Amino acid sequence: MKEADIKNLLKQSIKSPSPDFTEKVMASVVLKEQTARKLNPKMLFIVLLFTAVVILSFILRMPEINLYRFNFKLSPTFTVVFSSSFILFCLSRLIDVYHVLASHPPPVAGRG
Amino acid sequence: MTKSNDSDLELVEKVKNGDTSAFRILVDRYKKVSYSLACSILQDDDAEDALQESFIKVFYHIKKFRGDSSFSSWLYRIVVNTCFSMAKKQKKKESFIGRACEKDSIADQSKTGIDHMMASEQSEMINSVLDSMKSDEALLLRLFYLSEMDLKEIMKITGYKESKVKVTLFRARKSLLLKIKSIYTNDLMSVS
Repeated sequence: MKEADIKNLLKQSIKSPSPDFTEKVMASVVLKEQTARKLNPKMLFIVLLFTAVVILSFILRMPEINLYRFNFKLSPTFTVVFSSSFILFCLSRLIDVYHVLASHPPPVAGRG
Repeated sequence: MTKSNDSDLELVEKVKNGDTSAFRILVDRYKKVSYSLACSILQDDDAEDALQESFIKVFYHIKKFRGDSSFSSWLYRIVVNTCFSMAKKQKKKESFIGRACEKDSIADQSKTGIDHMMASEQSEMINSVLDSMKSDEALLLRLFYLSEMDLKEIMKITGYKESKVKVTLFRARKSLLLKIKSIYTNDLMSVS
């Protein structure tokens, strides 16, 4: 058997995925693109917020905390990290709530 | 305007500029060969999932494609890597050997000769022979003959060394011919 014969044999063995394969791929591509588009403004908002926290940390200082006989003074780095993680946590919860509300729209008031 | 006879590079440029219809043409153009390659590593259903994942990867990383190699070579590399990692994750290698043995018996029991077969039957027979082979042998055969890649491109796609590609291809060819010959012999015996 020659090389060309093997080639012909293998050409005949070509397999096809399911008929709706292209549609499935295109649907997932479009879906992912839409999700990315939705995420982008959120990401921008988070980045802006984070930048604001960093800038504010140069202006504001956490006051010294006096608890009984103990004295706490937080470093600016800790303040930034702590406050930004707190804000991000709150933001993620708010986004979750927004998604829940968006998926369950309030009932439309009936006529009369 | 995107045409189905546009070259790969033209289509890639269009996809880079946000034309999703150009990507659809690329998917249609390469889905069969890519699926055949994926079937060398994974079972049919998993192969389709891996292929879908590969095409999505291609879409999202197409801006990284600089045209140093052909688009098909780049795509097949992604397909093969995705299939390998999926096989690794699912520990399919053991079950693949099992599947190979199972298909081996099917190939041996086949009593229909090539000359008398309809095209679909012949295609089924060749696929069963390919499935009965080791995954790397079937993969290299398909890469070499089906997607018409040269040794260097196969090395890039699979990550194998030149010696391994040459030896595996040699063994694969020999094994394929032997199996087809055995089907021929079975057919002749059944006729006589």
